[in-house]
Amino acid sequence: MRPVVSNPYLRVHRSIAKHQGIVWMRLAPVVGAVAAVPLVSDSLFGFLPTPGQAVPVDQWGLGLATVASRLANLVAAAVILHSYADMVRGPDRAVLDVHPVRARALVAALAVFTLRARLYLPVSAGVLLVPVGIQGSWLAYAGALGLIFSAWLGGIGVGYLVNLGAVWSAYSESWARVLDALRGDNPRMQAALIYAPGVALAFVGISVELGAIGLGAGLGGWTFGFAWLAIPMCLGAVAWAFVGRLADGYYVKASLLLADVDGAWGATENEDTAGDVYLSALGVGRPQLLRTLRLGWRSLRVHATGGWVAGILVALGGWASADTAVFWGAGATVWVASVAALMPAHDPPWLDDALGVDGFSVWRARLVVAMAYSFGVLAPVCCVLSLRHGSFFIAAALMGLATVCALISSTVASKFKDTAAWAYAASALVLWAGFMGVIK
Amino acid sequence: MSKAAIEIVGLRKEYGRVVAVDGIDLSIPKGAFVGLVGHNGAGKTTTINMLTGQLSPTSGAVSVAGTDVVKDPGAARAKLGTVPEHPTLYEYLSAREMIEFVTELRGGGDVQWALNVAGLGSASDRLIREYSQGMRRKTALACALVSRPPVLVLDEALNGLDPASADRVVGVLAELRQDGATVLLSTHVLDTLEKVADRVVLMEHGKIVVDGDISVLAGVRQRLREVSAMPD
Repeated sequence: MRPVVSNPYLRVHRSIAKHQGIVWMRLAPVVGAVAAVPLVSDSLFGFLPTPGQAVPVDQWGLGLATVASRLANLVAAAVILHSYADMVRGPDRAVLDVHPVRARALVAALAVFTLRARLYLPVSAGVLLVPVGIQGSWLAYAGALGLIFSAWLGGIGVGYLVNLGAVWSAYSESWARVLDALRGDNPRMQAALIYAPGVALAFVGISVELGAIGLGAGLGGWTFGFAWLAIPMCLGAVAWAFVGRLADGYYVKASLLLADVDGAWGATENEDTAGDVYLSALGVGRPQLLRTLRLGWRSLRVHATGGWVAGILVALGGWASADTAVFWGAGATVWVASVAALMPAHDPPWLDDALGVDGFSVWRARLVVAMAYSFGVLAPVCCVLSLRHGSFFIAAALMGLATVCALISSTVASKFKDTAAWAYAASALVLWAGFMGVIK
Repeated sequence: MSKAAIEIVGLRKEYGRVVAVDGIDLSIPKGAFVGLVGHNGAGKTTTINMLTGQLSPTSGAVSVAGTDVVKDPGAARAKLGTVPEHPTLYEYLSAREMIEFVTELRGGGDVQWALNVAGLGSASDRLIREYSQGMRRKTALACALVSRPPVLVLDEALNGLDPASADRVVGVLAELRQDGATVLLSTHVLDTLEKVADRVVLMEHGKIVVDGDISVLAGVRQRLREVSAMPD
C-alpha cells in the first residue's frame, strides 16, 4: 500500500502523472546520449587508456575530473533553467493564482517535480561517461557520476533559492539601484529574473570545481577527496533550507511581478511601434515570420536575451582558452536553437489547421527565428574564436552547428508538436557530441 | 477595520504611459451583489486582477473582508472565490479531482454540491483536457464556489454557459448572497444583472462613470449602446 501523502500538491502532481501515462518521448535524451557516446568519446576521453593498456587511474584522473566538471556544470546550468521554468513560469502558477497557496508545500512539490522530470540530465550525462568505466575504471566512473548527480541536486536547491531571491530583490528598495544599473532596456522587475540563472550557476559552478578537485585528488590516491564530491549537493541542501521562508513571502508575489513584467513589455508597444519585437524588421512583408518572431519574443524571450547573455559569458570565459569557448559555445548554440522546438507548445494547436496555414512556411519561419536567435551566441563567441585565437575554421563550424541545430529544431517542431522539445534534446546531444568530435 | 466586504481607494494602474485604471474608489458592503460593466478595455479585468491579488496597483489601496490585498495577497485569496476571465485548470485532472483538490486547499467545502452547481453530470469524471470552453468555465465556477467564500469575484464567469446552466449558477449566486456572501460580477449580459444585482458600476477608460442601484441599469444600457456606436 502506498503511503498517504500529506502534501496536496504532490498528490495532484501524482494524479496528473497517472493520467498522462508514460510519455516515452521523455526517454529521447537518454537514447540520444547512447547514440552520442561513440561520437563524443575521442573528443572528451582522449586521456583514457586504449583497450589493452593498463594505465593507473592516477595518471588520467585529472583529465576525467576536467570532463566531469564540464558535464556537471552543463547539467547544473540546464537544471537551473528548468527550476525557473518549473517554479517561476511553470503551469501550476496560472492554475493556482486564484486559490489560497501553501507556498512551502507547493514549492516542495515543484522541486520534486523538477527532480523527477529533469532526471534525464544526470542520466544522459552518465551514459556519455560510460567509456570511462569500460576503458578506464568503474570506480572513476562512479566518482564522475557522483559529481554530476551532486551538481544536479545542487542546481535544484540553489536554483529554487536564487529564483525566489530574485523576486525578493525585485521588490527590495535597496536593490533598486543595482537592478536599474543592470537592466538595460528591460523593465527593472525583470532584471532580477534575467540574472538569476547566472548567479545560481556561479555558486554551483564554484562548488562543482571544488568537487572536481576532490575527484582528481581522490583518483590520485587521497581518498578523502571523494568526500568533496558532495560539496555541490551540500550547497544545494543549505540553499534549500532557506527556500521555505522565501517561498512564504515571495512565491505569490512572483505572480504579481510576472504580471507587471509582461504588462511593462506590452506598454512598450505604442501606436508607432505596435507589434515590434526583437528582430521584427526581418518579418516585414513575411507575415508568417513576423508571427513567429512575435511568438518567440513574447513566449520564449529567455532564448533571445539568454542567448546574448550566454554568448557574452562564453566569450569572456573563452578569452583565455579556445577549448572553453568551443565547449560552452556549442552548448549554448544547441540550447538557443531549441526555441523552434518549444514553439508548438506555445501555439494554439488548432490555429494553423483552422487558418489553413502552409506547414512549410511555419517550418521555414521557425528555422529563421532559431538561426536569428543563435546570433546572440555566435557573434561574441565567434569573435573571440577568430580574433583572439585565430580559429576561423572552428568559428565557421560553430555557425554550421547553429544552422544544423535550427534545421533539426524546426523539423522536430513540425513533426512532434508538443513533445518536440524531447526529440530535440536527443538530437541536440548527438549534434553537440558530433561537433565536439569533428572539432577534436 | 472597514466593514465593507470590498474596499477600493484611489486604485490606479499604469503601464508606462497607458493608464488602465485611473484612481477609482469603490466600497461594497457585505451581502451586496454588484454588477461591473463596461466596454472591452474599460479597465474591468485590470480592476478585478488587482482586487484578487493577481496584479499589483501602481497606487491606491484595496482590501477584501478586511485583508489588505496588496500587502498580503495570499491571505486575501483565502477569502475570495475567483473566476478569472480565462480560467486555467489542470488539463490532466477530472473536474471532480480538480474540485477535490481546491477544496483541500481551501480547508473544506462540499464537493458534491459544487459538482451539482457545475452541472457536469457524468462528465465530471472525464479529463478536463476533453472539455469544451463552457465545461471548463463551469469547473472554474465550481472551484470558486466550493468552499462558499465570503467574497466572490467573477470575471465574465457566465460566458459560454448554456442558458440553463447560466440560470442555475445565477440562482446559486443569489442563494449565496442570501447567506451573506458578497458578489462582484463582471459581465456584458445586462439581463442577468437585472435579475440578481442590486447595484451597477459602469467603467469607461479606467474610471467609474456610473455607480448606482439597479434602477440605473436602463441608463447604463443606453450609455453602452451610445459608446458602441462611436467611432474609435
